Amino acid sequence: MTFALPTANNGHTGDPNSNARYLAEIGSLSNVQNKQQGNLPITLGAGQWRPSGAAGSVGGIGYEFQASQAAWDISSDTKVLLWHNQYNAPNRIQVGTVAQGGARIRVYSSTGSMPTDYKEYYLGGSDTPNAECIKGQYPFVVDLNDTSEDATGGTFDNTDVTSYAFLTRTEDMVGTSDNWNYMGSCFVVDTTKSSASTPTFTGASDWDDAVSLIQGTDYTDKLGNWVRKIGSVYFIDMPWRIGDNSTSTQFDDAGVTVISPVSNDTADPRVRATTQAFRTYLNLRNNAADTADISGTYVWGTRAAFDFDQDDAAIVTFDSPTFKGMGGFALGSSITGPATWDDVDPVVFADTGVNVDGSTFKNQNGDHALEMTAGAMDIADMRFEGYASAHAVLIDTAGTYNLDNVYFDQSGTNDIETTHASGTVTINVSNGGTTPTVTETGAGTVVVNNNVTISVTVTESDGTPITTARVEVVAAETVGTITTGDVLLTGTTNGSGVLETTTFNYESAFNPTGLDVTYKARKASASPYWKPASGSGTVSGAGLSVVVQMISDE
Amino acid sequence: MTFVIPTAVNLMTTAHGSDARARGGFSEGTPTAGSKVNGNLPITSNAASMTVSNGDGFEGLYWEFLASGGYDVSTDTKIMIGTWQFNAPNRIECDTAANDGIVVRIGTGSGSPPTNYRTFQIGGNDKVAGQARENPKMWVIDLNDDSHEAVAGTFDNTDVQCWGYGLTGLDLGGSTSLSFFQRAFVLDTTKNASDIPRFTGASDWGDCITAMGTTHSTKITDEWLKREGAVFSIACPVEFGDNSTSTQFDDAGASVFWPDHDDAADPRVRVTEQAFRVYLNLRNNAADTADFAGFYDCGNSYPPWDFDQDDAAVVTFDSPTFKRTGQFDVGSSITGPATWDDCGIVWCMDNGVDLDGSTFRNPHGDHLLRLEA
Repeated sequence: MTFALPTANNGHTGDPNSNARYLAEIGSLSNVQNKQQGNLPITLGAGQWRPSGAAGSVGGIGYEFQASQAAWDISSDTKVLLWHNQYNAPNRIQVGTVAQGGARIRVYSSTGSMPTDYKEYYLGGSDTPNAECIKGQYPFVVDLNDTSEDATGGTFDNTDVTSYAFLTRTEDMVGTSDNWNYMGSCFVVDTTKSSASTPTFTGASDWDDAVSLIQGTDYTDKLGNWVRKIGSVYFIDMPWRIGDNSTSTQFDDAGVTVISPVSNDTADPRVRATTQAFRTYLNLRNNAADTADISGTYVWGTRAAFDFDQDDAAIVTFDSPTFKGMGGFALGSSITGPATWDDVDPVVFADTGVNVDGSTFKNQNGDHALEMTAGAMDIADMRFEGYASAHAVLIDTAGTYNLDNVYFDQSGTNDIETTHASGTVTINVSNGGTTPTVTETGAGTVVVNNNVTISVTVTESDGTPITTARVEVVAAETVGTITTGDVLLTGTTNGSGVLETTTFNYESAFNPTGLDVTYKARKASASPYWKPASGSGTVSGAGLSVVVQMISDE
Repeated sequence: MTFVIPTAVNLMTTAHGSDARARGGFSEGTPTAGSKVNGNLPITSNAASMTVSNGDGFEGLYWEFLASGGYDVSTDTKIMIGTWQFNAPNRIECDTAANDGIVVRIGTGSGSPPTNYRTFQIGGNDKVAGQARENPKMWVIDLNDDSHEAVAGTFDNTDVQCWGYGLTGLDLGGSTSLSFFQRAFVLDTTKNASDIPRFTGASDWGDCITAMGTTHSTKITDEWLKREGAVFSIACPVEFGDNSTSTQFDDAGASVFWPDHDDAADPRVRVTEQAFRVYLNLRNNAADTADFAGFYDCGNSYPPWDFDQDDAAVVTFDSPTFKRTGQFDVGSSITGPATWDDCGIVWCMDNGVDLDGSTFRNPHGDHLLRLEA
């Protein structure tokens, strides 16, 4: 029902000279005035200007972020500037290439008109989407801490950020008309979990609420293009959070696909972002009425973190969403359900109550696909794929970890890395899961148990069980701790004709082909007598179950 | 290396009155036709333009697709892609979509203007197209689509001859409405057709952006082939290979999306399930390859994918995800795991198909997988 964006930092409506935050012209400008309907929505005018210099000259217009150039300190957490410009008509673009700095944004520190300490970003030109042809209000996204700037002045101080400017370099593209700009409203959003200025979903909300706010529903309420939609694919160029920790929230992504941009793309460098810029948060109340249902696909172009570390009564359901490309992804115990993480850096279980059984982790970025750092816990029905030169799982705390039907494709250095300094990590594998290989980086010890069942059933030819038959299963190869000839199972069959062990330890060294064995059965101690029978087989990660049929010897 | 965009049916560089393909004005009203300097793509070219001459009137113009005759799309459809633009934010001045704010018409038969046509309300001041000036906005009309809002006469899909653009004026606070047009395309949607966009050579998705042009002096069309980072949005059928040119396609893990049909907030795309079909059409040669590792969401039209290739060509699935395709035919040239999510049936057309390791979920139809080869 609600997606909230902070109030515009500056509407840039009307004549720049009348704007309370206007600082100064940069270079020589003409026609500094109001552009009728040049803003968004088009019911508003926009600040208009044009460089009056010849081809090759640079002109611009500067503003303070806050009154009296009060400073922002973004050294701990960054802020993101959302802005847009527009050219008047196809024959009124007349800007240079991006390499020439056709369209630029400056971010200043310190005070003055204009300050001498700044970073300058070349965001577009006649060879990028910004100015290759006429556009509407063309969105720019600049993380105020980004360091991919193309030019600097003085020494930028990120504890004292005060001002910003838009500049263009004039070049003759087509004809001889002038380079007419007008500026739309700009927003500055926070990127932290606790800030009210971080864009936020509350109420019974979904992604269409973000589109409705930013794109509007008609010509009277459109704000810009920093959130947009193509089919069921949503593009969002800002941080976001689900819930504000005080308002009742029931978010449902309805299975859509959500895209966050890359930073400083060569072909379209209008987005400049650190890994803080597009962070995502789960921030529901500690209340079972607060819910979030996630089933979509999330593709991130920067390594921004997803903080889903919620551990309380809120109910968050994963219904097979896919997360791709983001940074660290912290999960709390409020979350239940399977997901796929692809190229994520890494997933962290921040609480032992996390239950994402059934999930898939693949193509890890970094040292591990999953870090189980909250303490000992159990996982089930998971798959780990594609972790070359890395480990699938990190365990850093002693205790018992039950891995129920967990598959490792064994593509990495080893499957699990343990770093606990003391005590024992016991890994119990069950239900046909892969016996993991382990790198023991810490000083503690590691025990891996994969208790599989070896079962031999002895019958007559018609399937009738033969009781008290003597059975022996023997290793047929030397592998791991097993040597050819080792007796793995011996004894006599029970009333059902079965002899079995449920505690044979399937070692990781047996992978992938299993352990070859031979078996034999006989009954000659008392009537009825049966002729000996034998065979061979392989103990796999699922164990071994064979039926031996014997022929009467009477 | 190569992505082929078919030749435009009309460059739209001259005023309607001077265009050999002009087919009259709307019977409701004829706007003032002209030419807009730098209004085309690339912006080195002028564009046909039109201004509503009667305040809040409903006026429009027609152009014919071919010099003579029409298209027969009764078996396989074609799609028309056009783009247009408003001169400035204060020159939009159109009514709501429901009031015919911005319409496209598809006409059949030889009348000038046509008397048999479908009207599609593609925009207005309450839709994406018409609420603000943006880049050249596309419309994509499947010539067989029947989601039109109005019809005149009897539409004959064996003789589709012309298209029209119309606008109902409304004072939004600015001057009169002024639209201008960029080149128009009609694309085939069948395998091996002459006018279907296709990749050949050592190619990837970035080639379609290069083919569209990337500077003010080379850009020939906009919006229906679009890139943001490693994300591509397209609004056309696609073919990999032409069965005669050596082709090595690699999607490089890109994400590729098609638009929805008749989106309520943005109804510029009107397509049947045939419109956005995708084909594998490599040579029977081990040197022809295609590698798929990306994410594909085909939108709500669920177009079929024909990957039924059963020969020496080598096609590798490296865990791509396909979402909202229609029927997906797979041949024995394909090897590797993939995920199909909310797709029509995946049909193994040959018993040599090897998709081991794949995931099938949320069927769009009765079954996830058909093993009938």
